[in-house]
Parts: sequence; C-alpha cells; structure tokens
Amino acid sequence: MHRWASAILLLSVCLSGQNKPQANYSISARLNPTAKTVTGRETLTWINGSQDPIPDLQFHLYMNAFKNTKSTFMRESGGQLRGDRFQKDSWGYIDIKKLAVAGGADLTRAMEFIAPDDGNAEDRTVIRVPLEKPVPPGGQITLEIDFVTQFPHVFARTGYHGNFFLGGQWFPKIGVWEKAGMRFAKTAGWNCHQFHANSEFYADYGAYAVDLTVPSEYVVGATGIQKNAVKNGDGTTTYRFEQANVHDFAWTAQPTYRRFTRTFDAEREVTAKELTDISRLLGIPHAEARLSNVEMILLLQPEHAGQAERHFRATANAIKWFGLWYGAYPHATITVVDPPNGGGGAGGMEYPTFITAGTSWLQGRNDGDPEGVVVHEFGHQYWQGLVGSNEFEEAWMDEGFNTYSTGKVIDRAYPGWTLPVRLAGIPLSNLMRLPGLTWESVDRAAYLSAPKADDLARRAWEYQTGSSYSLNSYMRPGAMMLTLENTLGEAEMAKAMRAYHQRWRYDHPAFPDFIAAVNESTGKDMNWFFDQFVYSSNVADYAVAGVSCEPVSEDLGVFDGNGGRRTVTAAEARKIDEEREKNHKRQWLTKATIRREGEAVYPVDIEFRFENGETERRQWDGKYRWAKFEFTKATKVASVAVDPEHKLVLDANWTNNSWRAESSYATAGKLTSTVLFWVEQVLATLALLA
Amino acid sequence: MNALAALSAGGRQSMRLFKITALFYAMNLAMAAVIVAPLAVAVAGNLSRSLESARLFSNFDVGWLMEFSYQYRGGTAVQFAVLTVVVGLCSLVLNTFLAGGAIALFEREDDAFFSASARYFPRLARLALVSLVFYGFVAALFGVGSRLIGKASESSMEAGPWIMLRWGLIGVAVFLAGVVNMTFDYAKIVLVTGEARGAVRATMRAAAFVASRPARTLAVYWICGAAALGLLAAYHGLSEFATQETMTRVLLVLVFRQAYVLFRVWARLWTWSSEVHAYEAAPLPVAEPEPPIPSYVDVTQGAAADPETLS
Ligand SMILES: [Zn+2]
Repeated sequence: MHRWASAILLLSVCLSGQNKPQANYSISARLNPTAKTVTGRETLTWINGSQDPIPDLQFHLYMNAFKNTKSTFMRESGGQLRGDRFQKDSWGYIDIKKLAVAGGADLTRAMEFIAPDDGNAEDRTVIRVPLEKPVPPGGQITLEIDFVTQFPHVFARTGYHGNFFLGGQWFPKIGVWEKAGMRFAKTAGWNCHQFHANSEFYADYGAYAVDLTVPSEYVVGATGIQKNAVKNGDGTTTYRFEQANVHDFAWTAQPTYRRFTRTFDAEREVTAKELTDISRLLGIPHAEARLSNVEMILLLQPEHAGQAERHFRATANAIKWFGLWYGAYPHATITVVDPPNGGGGAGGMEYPTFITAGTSWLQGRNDGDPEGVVVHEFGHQYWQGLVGSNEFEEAWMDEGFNTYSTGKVIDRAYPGWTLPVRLAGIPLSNLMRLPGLTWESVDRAAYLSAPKADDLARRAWEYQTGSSYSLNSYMRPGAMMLTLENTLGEAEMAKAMRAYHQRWRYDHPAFPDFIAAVNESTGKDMNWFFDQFVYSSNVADYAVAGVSCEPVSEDLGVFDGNGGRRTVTAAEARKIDEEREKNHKRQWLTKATIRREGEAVYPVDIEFRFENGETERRQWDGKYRWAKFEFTKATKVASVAVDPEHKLVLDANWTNNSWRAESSYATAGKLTSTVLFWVEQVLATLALLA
Repeated sequence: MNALAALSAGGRQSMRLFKITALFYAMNLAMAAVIVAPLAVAVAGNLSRSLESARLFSNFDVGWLMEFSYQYRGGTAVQFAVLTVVVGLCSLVLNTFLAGGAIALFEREDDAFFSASARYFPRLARLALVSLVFYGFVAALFGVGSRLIGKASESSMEAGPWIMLRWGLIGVAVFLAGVVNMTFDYAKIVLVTGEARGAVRATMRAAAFVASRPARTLAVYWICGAAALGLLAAYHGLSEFATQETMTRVLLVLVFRQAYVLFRVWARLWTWSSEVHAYEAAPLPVAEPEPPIPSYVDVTQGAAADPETLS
C-alpha cells in the first residue's frame, strides 16, 4: 500500500471510534501465470484492541497446507476433499522472504512454525513472531512482509487450472487476539488455528487495499471495489481493489472470463408490500427494512455465458431476502465467480464480497444449482462475512445458519426445485419427472442418514468422520434451526435472528452469544432446547405407542344412592347397552399411549380426531417415557397424532407419530406401482442379453 | 425379401402369436413382483396405519425414504440386495429358456412352445455365455474411451466439447452393442434351424450372414429399435398426463404403465420374428451339412457342440 493510503485507512479506523482490533492490509502483488506464483509485498497495520500488552504475533500461512503430505491438512484430507482430488506434484506453498516492523527491527529470523491444534511439527500453516517490544494496550504495529506464493493446481478452494487462477488464503494473515472472557478464552491469547481439511475462516476485520498486477489479457475480479486499472506498458495491468470492514481478500484472473454486471436495484426488487410485510414481521420501521443498491458482477466461463440470467436472479434473490431478514447488505459490490471445468475445487466458496459458484454445461430448468450454490455462498456474506463466528471451532454457526437461511430463500424463490440428476452431461430431472424437493426435507433426510454420529457442537476437525462434519455443520443444524423456528414461531425467530445478526455484525460471537441473543429477544429461556439439540447427540422420537377404543358398558353390581340400594344385573346392563346402541347413544372410551422413544426431550402437542369430526388437543411436556390420554365420547376415535404439524423436524421417525383407525394402502399402492414399473424396465433391459 | 417385408411379416406373425408376448410379459412381471413384493409389504406395514400415508400420497418426501431405509438398514438391506441379484439372474435364465420356444414357433408355427424351449435351452444358454464375451468387449471399449475422454477433459477448461465427444462414444458403443445383440439373435436362429449346433459355430455363421447382408439385417434391427424408442417417447409424452392424485388414477396409471411394458416386450419379439423372416428368405448356403441331432444329446452332453464327437 502506498503510504498515504495507509494513513487514510488508519484515520478512518480512529474516526470510527472503535476499540476493536483491526487488521488493515495493503498488498501489492504480481501474478506470474507461467510459474503459477504471486510475489507480494504486504503492509499490515494491526491495532491491539485489548488491554493486554502483546508480546508476539501469529500468522496463518495457509498455502503451506499444500506443501507436502505431512501437513495437517493433507493428513486429514488424504488429498481428497469436497469431491476433488489433489493433483500429483502440484505442491503449493508460501515463503516469507522478509518480515520486519515498519522502520524497525527485521523479525524474519525470529519467525517459528507452531502447531497449536495437533502439535504436528511438520505443519507449516501457522507462524509465531516474537516482538522485540510488546504492542501496548490500544496500540498498533505496522509490519512489512515480502512473500512469494506458489499456487497448487486447484484442489481445496485455491490454486490454478490452465490459465484460471483463484487466489484464496494466499497472503500471510494475522490471527485473532482473544482477550480473556472473549468467546471461550479463559486467558488472553492468540486464536490462530492450523489449516484443517474442514475449516476456513477466523480473522479480524479491517480495510484492504490490494494492487494486483497481471498480464493485460487477463480479466480480473476480487474482493471489494475496483478503483482503477493502470496499464504498465510492459504488457501488464495493475488493478486496484479496496474494501473496508472485511476479514479476508480473494481474487481471480482468467483471460477468457465473460464479465457481466448489473445493479441490484433495491427499489425495483423489493415491492412495497414485501417491505410492509417484513417491517410488520420484525416490528421495525420501513426505513430500517429498506435495502441499498448493489453492483452484481459475474465472471462466467464462456460456455456458461447463457446462464448469466440465472446467476443474476439467484444473486438478486439472495441480496433481497438476506437483506430483508437480517439487515441490508452493506457493501457496494458482490462478485460471483464461475470456475472452469477442471477447476471445480475452487467452486462453492465464500470470501467477503466475492463468492465462487459452479454450474454445468447443460443445466436442467429446475435443477437446484447454480441457484442453490449462489444463494448459499452469498449467504455467507451474512453468516461468516458480516458475523465473524469462528469456523474452526463452531462451523455450524456459519455453515448451519447459512443452510437454514439458504433453504428459506430457495424454497421461497424456487419452489419445486429438484436434485440435478444427469447422465453423460444431460440433465434428466425434468425428463424423469423427479418430485420437487424442499430444503427442509433434504436437511432432514441427510440428518437421518446418521442421526447420532456426533454432538452437533464440535471443533471442525474433531468430528468422527468427514461426513459427520458435513452432517453436523450443514444439514443437522439446518434442521435444528427449523425446529427452533417452529418452536418459537416465525415472527419470534425472525426477530431473534435479526437481533443476533445486528448485535454481532463485524464481531466474533460464540454459540452462547447466539443463545443469549435468542433468550433476550424472545424473553424465554431456550437453553433446554440447545442443550438437547446442539450440545448432545440425543435423538428425538415421539411415537403413538397404542390406541384402543371400546364401547362403554353399563356398570354392574350393587349401588347405594339417595333412592336406596339398586342392583344392576348382567342381563339388565346388556339391555341398557342395546337400547343405547339402538338410539345411537352409545359412549366410547378411547385410550392412547404416547411414548418418548428417543433420548431428547421436547414438549409436544397431541391431536385426537374423532369419527364425528370432533378434535381434541392436548399438550405434553414430553419428559417422562410415556403419557396416557383418555376420552369418553359418543363417537369413535379416527386418528391420533403426536406433533401433528411436524414442528420437531429433528424427530427421527415421523411415521410412528400418528395412528389411524382405518388402514390406508393408497400410498403403498402408488409407490409399489412405480417401483414395480421400474423393476420391470430393468429386467426387460437385462433380458436383451438373453 | 427386403427389410420392410420381413418387418411386416414379423409384425403380423408376432401379433398372431401374441400369446408368446403375453408369456414373456407375464414372466417379466412375475420376476419383478418377487423383488417388489417384500418391499410392498414393508411399505404397507410402515404406512398403512399412519397419517403419513395421506401426506405422502400427495407429496413424496425424501425424508420418509431415509426413515424407511434407516429402519431396514443392515441385514435386511443385504438380504434384499441378494434377492434382487438372484431374481435378476433367474430372469435372464428364464428369458433364455423362453427364447428357444419363441424362435422355434416363429420358424415353424406348429412347433410345441415348451418342448422347443426345453430342446434349445442348453444351446442357447451356451450361446448367451459366448455373447457375454462380445458384450464385455464393447463395454471394455467404452470404458477405455470413457477414461480417455475423462482424462483429456480433466486438463481442459471446457466441459462442453468433451460431453459431446462422450455422446459420440455412447452412440458408437450402443451401435456396437446393437450389432452384437443382432448377431446373436441370428445365432439363436441358426441354432434353432439346426444349421449349426455349437455356440461358436453358430456365432460365426450368424456373423457371416450379417456381413453378407448388412443393410437388410441392420435395417430390420434398428427399425425395431427405433420403434421401441418411439414407444418410449410416446409413453413419456403421455405420462405427462398420468398424474396420480386419486386412487382411481393410480390404478389407471398402473394399467397404462403395464400396457407400455407389454408393448415393449412385444417389440423384442417382433424383432425376433422379423429376423427369422429375414434369415429364412435368404439363408446362407449350408457349407457342410451336419448330422442330425439325437434329441438327448443337448441335455446330457456338453461336448455336443463339436459335431466330430457325435459320429
Ligand atoms: Zn457454506
């Protein structure tokens, strides 16, 4: 960064009056597309927002995750991640050539690699730099760092493929100093995790100004606003990007990108009725619900240029609904990158104001992508970009919250979407008339594949398996959040989510902070809920265990009353019963037993429907193993249902939630007919061999 | 007899002998039912007394599928997979058995179906095994081509050209598999007419026949194939309207689908009948007449494939 720019950045920090730590970066970097390297000079001004004198600094050097097979990342991933595979011999790494205090001591020789998570001495993804004198409370330090980054072939999110480059996690990035009491920190210290297979972000907010020099034929996109592009006269062009209030910076370059831009026009995209509805739902004035315009930039592969409209619509839908629910998107731009064929490892990623999506050459009309991936990655602008939870330690707080929010946008904007099924590149979902899906059903279905693999709350690298990480970071928290919404009600949930988002924008919450926000917003103590469904692997399963319905018979025996003693014989009783039967006055006793088959406890409603159309509803705290209910009515019971509205999305078995007096084989017949048809087709095809 | 005449004669004959189609269809249905029955019982047991059945009737829920399979995971799922494979193999064997009767009747309508089936089964079974080598060859060719395309596309920045190339490869593989299938149809006919009894010899003779009359044989086979595809397209077009909101409509769709399966099976038999007509109209000259086959030989002596051992 030029010195004057650095000064302006610092001034803006001081004027903002924040005492939060800030990491302001000025980087000038030059891409060598032949060697697949970036040579950079970084000026970092870091402000100590704590009351602690800070004796050392810690940095992420994430590109070293790809340096050799001994890195923690490679050991954990086995060279395979997110459906992609590491390409042999295309190692990636970052070398710090010089690290010095601006105008002061050269600290290059003092740097040491540390492995705070697993003690892996071979891991090179975190360094510690002891300082000659500590950074005083409220003080700041400016460092000058020269580095060279060697890109790997695109594998885990970052790297090159042909002449496509995605620069993610590409520069030395300072960790987060957590003062005592912040998040889970008992004592003050650096929170600077190694790079793991399943975790990405935790960093301080700050302002970035990056000058990126590339050969002039390259089309470039990056975090923030492009301020200028200067031709250098040597066949290269330097692009300058600036962005404040972000915690990372990523960029991409490829000569053949097709670039499209369009403005998200808030006035046009949000109708007056939608604005009124949302202000009413959240109890906020119109002005507060209003959104701002955003410049949408698409960088698409030439063969996907025909899908620009779909990308624009998805981005606009995401800007609109995330903005209406949680607060307007505060940045001026959002850049959506479409990686090329063979560079899929870079797809589906989120960086501040810069996301990567992914689509196919032919995409079915109702296929859930690219819309799903665009909305999801945009969603991370909120859950990760703006609310900076710690993805290493609480991945579900961005992936899970985002799965929940993404689902709400997709189900609203794209009802009837289907899974993209394709054969030889041909989309088949429409041809096969696959049933439309909802995000809720997919979250729940995925959760049911391993409902008790782990507690939901674990550190990202401490789940039993990679698939358990995925399940517990995405779909299960998605289903958990839906259950929370069903428990609180739509309005209460919307208010709580907005309150949480607003409170923690540009800050670092932990899950207890979310619980506190929910409790405060709703005025309820919801700890019981999170104890069950976040801090345990207990499964919920409520069931109708048994229902009986018997005619009530006249009581027999000797009865003392005001009119003296009366004896009812069996014959008399039978006669009375027959008389009642004839006059349709017979009473029926319905008994139902509801059981808690799972370990998790959740209060449930139970609905009883009777043949004459009457319904009865009872509430049960769901605590003890079972509860019994009895009704005496002049009608027989038709059905019993526990949790009839399926509020408890996490219930592992909805089929046993209800009982009906009359068997129905319609659905079984319908499904059997379909399966039979397909089996016949397979056998008839097989018969061609005979 | 040209291809169209063979197809027309085959069409008439296969309709005249529609009971053969019915038999193949019934067998296919029965085999499918064996696989589907335990599934149907399990689904009915799972849903019939639950209100979920009403919800799922109108809106299929993938969550229910997971619930259902979670309950039947492990041993039950393995048993079901074994059952499916066994029934699939049985179906293949039964189809081979019935093929002998069908082709014999197409050749000589007064033949007795089941005794012809029994008579030709051992030869046709050996022939089916020989055919696997050729199908395997086509599959291997496809696998190699597919892998080469996959490798090349990995380093490319575009997917489109490679997908189109893959379509080309699939086209070639389907054509080759069709040629193998057709050649072995004629090999079956050769075996049934008794011009050769060994599977290999019959294959060679069928290949020679196909090679000497490529236009006619390919036309007969691929016109039938195209008709089957047309039938599929018609089914697909009509199934747009085959919604199943009521139980009556579920039954109607069931009938509609079964009609499609029936006609699909018929298309295969029409192919055979047309091929019999095409073959009989211009058979290859019999190079070395083979000695008559004692009726017991096929069933008891595997060596019967070699005519030398018979004399
Ligand atoms: Zn995500």
